[in-house]
Amino acid sequence: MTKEGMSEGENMKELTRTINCKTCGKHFADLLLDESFAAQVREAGRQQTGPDAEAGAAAEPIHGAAAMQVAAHLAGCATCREELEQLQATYALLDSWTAPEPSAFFDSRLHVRLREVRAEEPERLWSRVRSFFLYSTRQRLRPVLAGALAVAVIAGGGGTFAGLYGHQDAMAIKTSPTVNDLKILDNNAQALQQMDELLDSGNDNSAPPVS
Amino acid sequence: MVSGLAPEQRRAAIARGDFSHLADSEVMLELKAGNMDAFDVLLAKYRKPMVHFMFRMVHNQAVAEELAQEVFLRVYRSRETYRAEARFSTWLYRIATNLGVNYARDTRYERTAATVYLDEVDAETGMTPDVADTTPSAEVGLLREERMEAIRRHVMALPERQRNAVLMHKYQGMDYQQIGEVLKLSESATKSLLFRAYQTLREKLKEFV
Ligand SMILES: [Zn+2]
Repeated sequence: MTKEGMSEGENMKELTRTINCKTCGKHFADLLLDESFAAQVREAGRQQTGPDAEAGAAAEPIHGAAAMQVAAHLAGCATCREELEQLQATYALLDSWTAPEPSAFFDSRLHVRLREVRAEEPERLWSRVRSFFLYSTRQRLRPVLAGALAVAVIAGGGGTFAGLYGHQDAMAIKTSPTVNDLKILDNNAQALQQMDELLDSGNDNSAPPVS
Repeated sequence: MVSGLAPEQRRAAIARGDFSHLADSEVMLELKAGNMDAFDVLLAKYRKPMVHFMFRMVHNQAVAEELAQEVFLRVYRSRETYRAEARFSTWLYRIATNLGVNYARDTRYERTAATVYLDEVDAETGMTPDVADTTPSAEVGLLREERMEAIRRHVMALPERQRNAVLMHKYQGMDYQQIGEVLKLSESATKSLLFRAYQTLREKLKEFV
């Protein structure tokens, strides 16, 4: 494919003039999507057409041959230049399709849904209790909440916090006492988590649980 | 993984609720380990991108928010199966893309499912409505609306994979390498997919350029 008698780096200027529109068009994807290639072509274009064009052409090419060729072709071909400009303009035009900000209730709605999901995973109670005490960032509240959990466990009453969180009443109770106890424990763990979120809501402006 | 933090410093930072030194994938591993603070960290970072992504897919804010919430719920539900070798955002966008695409199919917002893997098919053959041939309006706001509507319509009329690629590339600021990971395509395939999409859009949106 290489022209006979043309050694590497020799007469770069002539080489850069040799691609046609079709070959040039094959580089449009890179010109549009690959910023480093596009920058190379721009820079090569400046070198080839700028005031020091002769010096630039004579000097060792600092850009890939493809960038040099594309720059040279674009400089001399209005059709390709126009096509490229249209592509770039379309790409910029797409910016005017804007999207609205998330609504103020996004997080609170999500947390309600998240609690529903978590409520369906009772088998994970112990890992949840564990992680609650392990990871809770509200250090100073820990003793209080630990005490609360102990009280809740001893009392064994699912209703301890149920008054605060109405949706837990929806938890159907028609299972064996053991499973039931586990569920109660689970509810209490959840209630603690929710209480934690409530106490924290002053800082992160998330809305209190809705049910 | 994390630059400049010893394991014990890391644990201390996590216990303080400071996740700033963690990569997304490590935050996700925290969630996997049962740390719910990690969920809020991921939510804070990806809430807006997810709502925007979904909004452009479904063009309805209420639906977009519900779907974006569903993305986060799936992240939570799938935490056990998360493997850190995948970039978190790649995994997230895969979930989001599946959800958005399924929603669009279910609501028949969309071209027929048969065209899904036929990106090469001319976009013209789809159900692309013609751009309304209105006379230039003096109202700048109206023109803006019209332009936005045309962009939306023509992006949505693209074949599914092209459309998803454009949404991620143009509006989510992702590079084609990562888009390729989400769509499970090679880098060069993603590049040509995107380029075909932009060429089509140039043709369709001529009058606005
Ligand atoms: Zn040309």
